[in-house]
Amino acid sequence: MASTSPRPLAGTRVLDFTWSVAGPTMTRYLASLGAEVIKVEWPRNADPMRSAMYLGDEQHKTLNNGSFFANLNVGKRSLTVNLRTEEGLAVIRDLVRECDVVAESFSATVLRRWGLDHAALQQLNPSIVYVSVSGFGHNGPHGDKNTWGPTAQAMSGISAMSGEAGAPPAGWGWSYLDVTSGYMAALGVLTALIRRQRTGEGARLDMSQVEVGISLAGPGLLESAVTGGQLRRRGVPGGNRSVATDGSVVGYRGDTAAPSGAYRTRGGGENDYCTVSVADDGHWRSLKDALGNPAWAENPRYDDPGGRAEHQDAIDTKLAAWMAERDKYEAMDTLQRRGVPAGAVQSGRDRVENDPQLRSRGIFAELEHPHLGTQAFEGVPFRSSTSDYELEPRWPLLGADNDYVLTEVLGYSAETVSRLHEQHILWPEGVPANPVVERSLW
Amino acid sequence: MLEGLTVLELDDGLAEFAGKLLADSGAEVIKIEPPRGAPGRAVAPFVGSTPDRTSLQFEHYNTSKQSVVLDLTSEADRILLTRLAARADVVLDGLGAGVADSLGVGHTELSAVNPALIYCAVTPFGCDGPWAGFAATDLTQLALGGVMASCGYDDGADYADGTGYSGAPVAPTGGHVKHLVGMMAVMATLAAVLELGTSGRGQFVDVSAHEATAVSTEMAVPFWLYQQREVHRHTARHAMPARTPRWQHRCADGKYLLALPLYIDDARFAALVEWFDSEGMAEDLADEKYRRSMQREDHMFHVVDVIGRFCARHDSDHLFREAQARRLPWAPVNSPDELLADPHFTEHRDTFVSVPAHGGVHLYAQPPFLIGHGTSIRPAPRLGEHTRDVLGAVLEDEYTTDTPARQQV
Repeated sequence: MASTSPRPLAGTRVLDFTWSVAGPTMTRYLASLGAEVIKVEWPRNADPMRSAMYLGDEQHKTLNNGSFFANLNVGKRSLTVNLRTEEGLAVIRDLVRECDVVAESFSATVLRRWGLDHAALQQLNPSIVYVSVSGFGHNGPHGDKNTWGPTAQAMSGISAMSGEAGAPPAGWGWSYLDVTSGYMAALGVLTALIRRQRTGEGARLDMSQVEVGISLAGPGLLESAVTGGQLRRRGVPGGNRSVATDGSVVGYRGDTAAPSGAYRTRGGGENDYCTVSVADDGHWRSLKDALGNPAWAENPRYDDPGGRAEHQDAIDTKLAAWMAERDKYEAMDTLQRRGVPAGAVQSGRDRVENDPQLRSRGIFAELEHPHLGTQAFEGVPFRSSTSDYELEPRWPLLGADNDYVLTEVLGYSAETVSRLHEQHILWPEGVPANPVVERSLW
Repeated sequence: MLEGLTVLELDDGLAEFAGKLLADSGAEVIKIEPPRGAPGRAVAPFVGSTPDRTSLQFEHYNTSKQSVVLDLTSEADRILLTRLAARADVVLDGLGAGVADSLGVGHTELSAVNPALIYCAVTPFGCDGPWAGFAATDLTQLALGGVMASCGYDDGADYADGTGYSGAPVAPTGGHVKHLVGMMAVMATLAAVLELGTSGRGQFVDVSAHEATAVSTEMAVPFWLYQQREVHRHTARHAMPARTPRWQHRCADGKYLLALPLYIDDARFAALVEWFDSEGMAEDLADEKYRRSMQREDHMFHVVDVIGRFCARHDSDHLFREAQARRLPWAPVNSPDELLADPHFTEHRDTFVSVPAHGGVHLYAQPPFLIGHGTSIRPAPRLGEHTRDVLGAVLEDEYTTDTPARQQV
């Protein structure tokens, strides 16, 4: 549960205007590292992820009990304030003075319209770190284009780098660039905070999701730039292979393994597959041992990497026959006992229920949520000897931290706070405290 | 940004993207390589031919680093590594769980000479647990981490080109396990650097590639945790528990367009219908039943079929411009190399940096959080290029700073 050991970002305050997935992923991690994240919304147009996914048996959907939203925004506080009023903007200007980081994921013009562009933020707080996450960044000919994670994935080239040889792109089965742009933006904030710790200087980080995709495209981009060749013209991507039969690289996976593939295992389910990579001669000898040194494998043409690459179709056929008779975890264990890289294709359920490693490391944390009861949430994938990175059971229930922020962070008087309440600057008139949602996104 | 931070990288491949991000952000990253060179130097693709060939895989992941050769099986070189660690801020260890310990240069030994040291172990499965010793590659980790269960095809028969691809799981190419664990390793390391700045304490950080991958698949795990439903693979769109309409369409020029049919409000949809209608291709989309999003959602398979037929008649670039002029969140499915010719990235933003390197000019993407900061990227080092300079500086420094200390004793 909640830790007592200090976290590295304790004392760092983040003013968080982000919404959807990319920006909130960044601030989720900043919160996990100890920052106080104040998520700013207005109930009439709250973060759409609040109504993205509910518990399967949820009868009463509200803006506060979306389970996907809770998982994505664990550890944050919530402030509701009307930014279409001068009084609301005055609250925000006061907060900028008390914060270390301002984070947003709007299009380029929104903060400018509020009178809070980088220059204005710097006037309020000279050492502010201002980070924005958008599709293309805030300048250039594409700067005003409309994108979501999948749009950025297509544009950046990483969708095209997923798929079977000669087939249409398979792309990514989720908004990978929302998740990874969140990670990269968090790295940017940490980098800027380190410089600020040393020099006192603030920073402006103008993150583009397409550029995140470019930075994750792998060495194929360099090869293409050096050789002038188009990747898709020469069989890239090559499905699950690392190299084509002629030995040319089609996977950019950091190995030139052959065979390299996902093989159907017993059961016939859509995730009944086990992957194998034979990255060197040692793996090949171990694979033969694990299979009981069958006659087909004692072929001198398979003894070197070039031969295995050239004949990987034939090897695949034999390996597939061996796999088809085994459960995916049984196949994986048999191969791993001999040191062969092998891994079952794991679904969401597999990772939660069938993965002894994730269970042993406690990656799914059970936390109490005031509207959801005890639920499991995705944990932080690293540990530290000095900081406890367990998720903290803090939830941005809409407006729940208004009084804390106004009174304790800003030091407003009771009169000022009640005036803001009375003027409906902090909550829209006529909207119930826990707004009901008719239809969820997923 | 990270000038003044010194990092030692001991790595067999898993930690080198983390080291690259730190080095390209200004940290001094010293890659410790065995006399035969880091394993990545032998990984294709290559330019040139043996024995002078250069691995582009290595060049890509080792920009801005220095190379120092040490033979960690030799006592003398282990002492030199310890001396380097005494002056470093961070050790990035990607050798595998327990390997540095068994060589006698693990966290215990190095933190003994430098209590402020941040020691970051980057391993396939973490430093403990039943799979800690398992062999791993990018492919097997994409399988175990859940990426492959969400990526692939569901509509092979729908496409006319007869490629015969199946509904099997697909592992995206490019080295994403290294990328995911690398980002997490940098996150944990930079957090530790910030803490060091206030507490003066070093720490041991244990980063697992398996965990980094397993928590990065967005809805797949939440769907199981909260609804006990599994997602199914869908071609070039989100894996979901239910079937959804297509997002990707083949255009007249042979390229594909990602025509996201989500988040299109009624005004944008009206603009789409007007556009299609101006070319006589709106079919029945002007019908009242499509006008409001609540009703339109019940007919999206048909709406998307009409979009597909429109795309088939136009080039992808034309569709991109015209769709975006109507605020539709659509984009062509580019090959990464196509961006090298897009002025948005090459002229208006410093997305790419040209680096004079061995055998020609290389283009590299900047760390995406430092665009606009004029970061400089240096070419990957030749094997041992910095051994003399780095070790010489250590020995000279120790001589001058050790002398008064000895006199005190």
